[in-house]
Amino acid sequence: MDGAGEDGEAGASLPSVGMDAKKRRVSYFYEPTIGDYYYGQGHPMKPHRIRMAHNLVVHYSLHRLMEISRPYPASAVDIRRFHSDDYVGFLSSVTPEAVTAATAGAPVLDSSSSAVSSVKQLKRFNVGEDCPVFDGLFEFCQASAGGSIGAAVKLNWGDADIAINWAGGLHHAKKGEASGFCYVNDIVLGILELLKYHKRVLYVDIDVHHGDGVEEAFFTTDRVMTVSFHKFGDFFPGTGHIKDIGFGQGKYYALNVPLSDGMDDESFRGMFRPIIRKVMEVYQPDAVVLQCGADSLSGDRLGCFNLSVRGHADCLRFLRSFNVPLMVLGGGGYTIRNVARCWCYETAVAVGVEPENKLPYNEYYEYFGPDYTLHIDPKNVENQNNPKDLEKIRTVLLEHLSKIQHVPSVQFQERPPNTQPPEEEEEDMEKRPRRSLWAGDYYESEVEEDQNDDKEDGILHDHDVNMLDNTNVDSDNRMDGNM
Amino acid sequence: MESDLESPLPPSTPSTTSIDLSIRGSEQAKVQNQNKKCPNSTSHAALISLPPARPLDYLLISRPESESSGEKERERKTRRARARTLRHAAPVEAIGRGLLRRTAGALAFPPKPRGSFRYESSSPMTGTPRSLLFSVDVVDVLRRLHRAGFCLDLDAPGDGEAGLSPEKMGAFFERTVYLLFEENHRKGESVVRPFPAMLGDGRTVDLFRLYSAVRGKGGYRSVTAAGSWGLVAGETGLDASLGSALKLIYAKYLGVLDRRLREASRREGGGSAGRAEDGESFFGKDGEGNGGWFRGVLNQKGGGGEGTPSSKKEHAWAWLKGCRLKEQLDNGREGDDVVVIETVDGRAKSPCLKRKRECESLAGVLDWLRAVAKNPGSPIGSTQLDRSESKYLEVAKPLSQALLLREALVANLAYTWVHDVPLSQKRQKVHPSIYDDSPDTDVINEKSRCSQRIISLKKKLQVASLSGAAIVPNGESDKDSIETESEGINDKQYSRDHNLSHVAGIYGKQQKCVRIGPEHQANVPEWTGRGSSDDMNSEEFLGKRIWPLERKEQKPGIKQDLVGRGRRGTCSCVHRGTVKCARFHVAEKRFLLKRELGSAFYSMGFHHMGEEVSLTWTKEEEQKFKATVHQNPPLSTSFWEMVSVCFPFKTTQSLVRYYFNVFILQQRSYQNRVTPEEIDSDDDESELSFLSDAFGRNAGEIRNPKPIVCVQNAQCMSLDELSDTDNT
Repeated sequence: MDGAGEDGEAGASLPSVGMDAKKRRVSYFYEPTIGDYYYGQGHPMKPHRIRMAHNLVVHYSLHRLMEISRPYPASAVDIRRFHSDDYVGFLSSVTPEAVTAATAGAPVLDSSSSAVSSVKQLKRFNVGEDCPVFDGLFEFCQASAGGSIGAAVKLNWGDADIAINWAGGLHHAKKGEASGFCYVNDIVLGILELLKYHKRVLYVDIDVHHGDGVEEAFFTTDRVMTVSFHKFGDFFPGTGHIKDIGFGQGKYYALNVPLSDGMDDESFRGMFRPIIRKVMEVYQPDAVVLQCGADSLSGDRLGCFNLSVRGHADCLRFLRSFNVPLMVLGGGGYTIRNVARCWCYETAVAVGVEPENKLPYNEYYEYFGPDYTLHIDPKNVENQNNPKDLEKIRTVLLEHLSKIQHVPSVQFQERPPNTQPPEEEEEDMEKRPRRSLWAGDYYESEVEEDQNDDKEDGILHDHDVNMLDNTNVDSDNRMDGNM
Repeated sequence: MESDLESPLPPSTPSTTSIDLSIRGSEQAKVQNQNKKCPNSTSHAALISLPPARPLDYLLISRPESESSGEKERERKTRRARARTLRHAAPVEAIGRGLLRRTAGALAFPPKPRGSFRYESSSPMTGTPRSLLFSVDVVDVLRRLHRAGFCLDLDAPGDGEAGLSPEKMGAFFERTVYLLFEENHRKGESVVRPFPAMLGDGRTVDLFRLYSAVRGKGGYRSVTAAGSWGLVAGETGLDASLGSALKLIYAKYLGVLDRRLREASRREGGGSAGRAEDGESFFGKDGEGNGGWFRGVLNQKGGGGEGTPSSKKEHAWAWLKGCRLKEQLDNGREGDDVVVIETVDGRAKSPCLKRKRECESLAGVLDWLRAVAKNPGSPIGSTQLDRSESKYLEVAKPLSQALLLREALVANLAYTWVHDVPLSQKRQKVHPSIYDDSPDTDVINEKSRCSQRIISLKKKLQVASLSGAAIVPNGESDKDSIETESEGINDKQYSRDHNLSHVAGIYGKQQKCVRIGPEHQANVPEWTGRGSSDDMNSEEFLGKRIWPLERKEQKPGIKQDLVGRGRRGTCSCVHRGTVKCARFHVAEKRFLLKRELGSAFYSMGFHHMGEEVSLTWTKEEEQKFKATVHQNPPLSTSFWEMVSVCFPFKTTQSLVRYYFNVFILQQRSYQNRVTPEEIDSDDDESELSFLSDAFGRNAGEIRNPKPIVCVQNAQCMSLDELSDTDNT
């Protein structure tokens, strides 16, 4: 695959790319059996959507620009790095049959399974309606978590600039219980893996639901900053108030952007960009994790936002432009054809390709009828987000963020921030094992274009200084260009 | 108030349980706790014995059993628990011993100011209730209890000492009541309440005066019926507005005594009118059931040495409690760290009551909790688990309130522990007020932060107090020593505990809090530099690369589509846009893809995608599947059961695969052409149901070309195999 000819072709097919068309080494995790897991009749969560997305990705030939791996299933021990022992024990041993027996009240003859799935336990671990026990539940969790951990390892080793796992992003799972269709929090596991090599990790969540599991897991640490954009107010899971800002050492390191129904591309962008820009500026993460829950898309079965695929992917595009190791995960998304569209498009954004709108013929072609296009039109619904309110929210959040600068935390005391670190960090980065699949000359040098913002150049510049050690040819060039 | 008094009833007599969920205005209790400002070692140790607030008991009771799965885990847990016990047992014991020495014989309660009293030694058993006004004979009460086998530890003052001073009388009475609680607790019937009884404003209530006053008015029921609690308050030396608060106090503190006395009179076999009235005085309604049960308990007690193994420990426990009380009073602080009942009107609100949420009326919450606890499976309880995303349930409020209360209690306890504790066990709680807008948020935060360091003790403490309560219903309280109760903790209990809190959070209409503590947060190590040593096994997580292919397998020269290229605008098919046309092009594309991907085609699972999945199904099977769908509209939950019954030899996996790759796909291709405007979401189930009528008729024709496609696909496959073999 590493032929230069294809690059040429890719470039040729992309004359229209007006944004960041630079290449990134993209690693993509896909478990081929993922689509065969089934939450149960009428359950909105359908792992089949991941297969559909993958199918589109390959039919758009995006696989040629990335490395695809089948994830190693995370073991119970790996999962216990975050989750509690008894919960993992329960997950790994529970079966639908045992649950049926337990809920039916019938005495279970097999003593081991009765220990596993008493009704009480189901309640305790919040397994039941939203989070049913289905065939292969644990394998599903293993695949999802294995993909995210694998993505983290990829980034840790410097093997990739962007690592994608659409089967991940299950952000509601708690340490000791399931929640909101999520059993194992692959994100937390992935971030924990990233933290081995990265001092600060930024987590960004654009699922329509609040990323409560991840926020909670890192609520008291400043090594992970969580930023969640979500619908707030009479909506699952109920957390994510703007005033939840973290606790203890983690104070100000959790950010919540509460939004209302009907959020459209423009409003979302108006929130996302300034906030994330500021976050990148003040927090200077060494790695970023983006949860791309596709239920914030227009017409989602459970969501209530009105984003187009482009508007959704704009978040990824923006984060990608910072050129920080980036993990891209799935998440919610319950209108499966749109999920496939969205994640396919975002894969394309990750590899720097603008795919055509007319879907290629593919096995799931009929799912995308009657228009058979990649992009979806936003619905004609009222945007209940008043610009003034959004402005207020933005102001409050930016204020929170400024506290990070002004309140030096323990973390920044260890090592003085922005001014001196480059050298130090450079050294560190040298130590980072590098096993590139691609030669360093893979990057095209293009000037970073983020059209409208001078401010950002400054940030990027700072950032580039930090990332200098990435020894990307293009990074240098870009800096020159920016200067 | 009945429900409050059932606490001594064992779960085996649920029939006597009356669940009252309504919040009764007249009995609204406000539970608050106050900050303790005297963190010295004795008071800490004493805190261990602090009985939890009522709601906690029930929270615990309602928690599901936790069973670790697998022998290994159990073993590990035990080991951990043992280790913890070892770690903590020593200091606690030491403190306990110290306390015992220091406060030997300190069970006596300090004198309290009292009004003048007239004490008569007439027995309540022989006199009529009316004549007992202001005249309850403590000694006689005790004697009766003795006869019934209660309070044997407490010697009645010599007969000659009939003229006990009023102060002593009161103290003696309180001690009697306290002992009753103790005994009950030991039997696992109820919790020990904090002594002395206190009102919300911290004023102590003289139980003896209260008791005398109520008895003088004919007992609890008569007073309640007559609505004369205000009068009782007056007679007890308190403001008449505190009547309802007193009623609560009576119910909580003196109900037991009433019951025991009635029990005693029963045992004596005297059916005198006066005695019946005694029983009536409190438990008119379910007197029979209670009596029978008490007798049962007594028999048991006589029969088995229940409680003996740990009675020593229990004793220590009791002593600790005594100390705490003493300490408290010595310090001259009223109301510290105890849950106090406050008046409804709230006029006497304590100045140190800072947090709004805690002063919300909680009587209803208590009842609700009790109901849930006793009957986890009942509709009230089970609805909690209905987590549909949009609707909140009506249980939300009491539950979240209860949780807030619990949170507040625990957090508050924590503040008072500013002591050396293993740093390894960090534990934090978000203070509810972290969400308040008050300007002093930061101050409070600082406070909470202090508590981080002391957490393991807090945990210990909490569990100690909780576990005592947790075992109430099953009567096994005596099994464990204090140490194991408090140290062997039981992460289980702890986590169960937050389990509920989570439920509450979800449904709380109020803002949901983020839970803090090691059960909730990930363990984030300190940054020590890039690359940790335990990273050896991370390589396997790189997974198995399936693309790009190994070099030897690459097939150069195959014409490939451009990256990101969509379908071409036109095709030369005769029937453009038909299912047939689409099928043809899909097959075509698939063929190309297969050529390009080589083995990756399979390792990516493409052979399990698309309508080709149906190739592994016989025509009969497909018909059967369709028929099953028609008979069982997919909206019904039994759909998949039926399907798997019909296809016993197919795995769920393959059924699901067929469903998504073939069945739904065909539905969609029909929809796209026949009813395109009706596709508005992926609610495929409902789509199916609307199709279920016309589907068989109309879709049949459309699906006619299917065999052709399959043939094409098969060709494609064989072609590809050919090319594969060519290449290799």
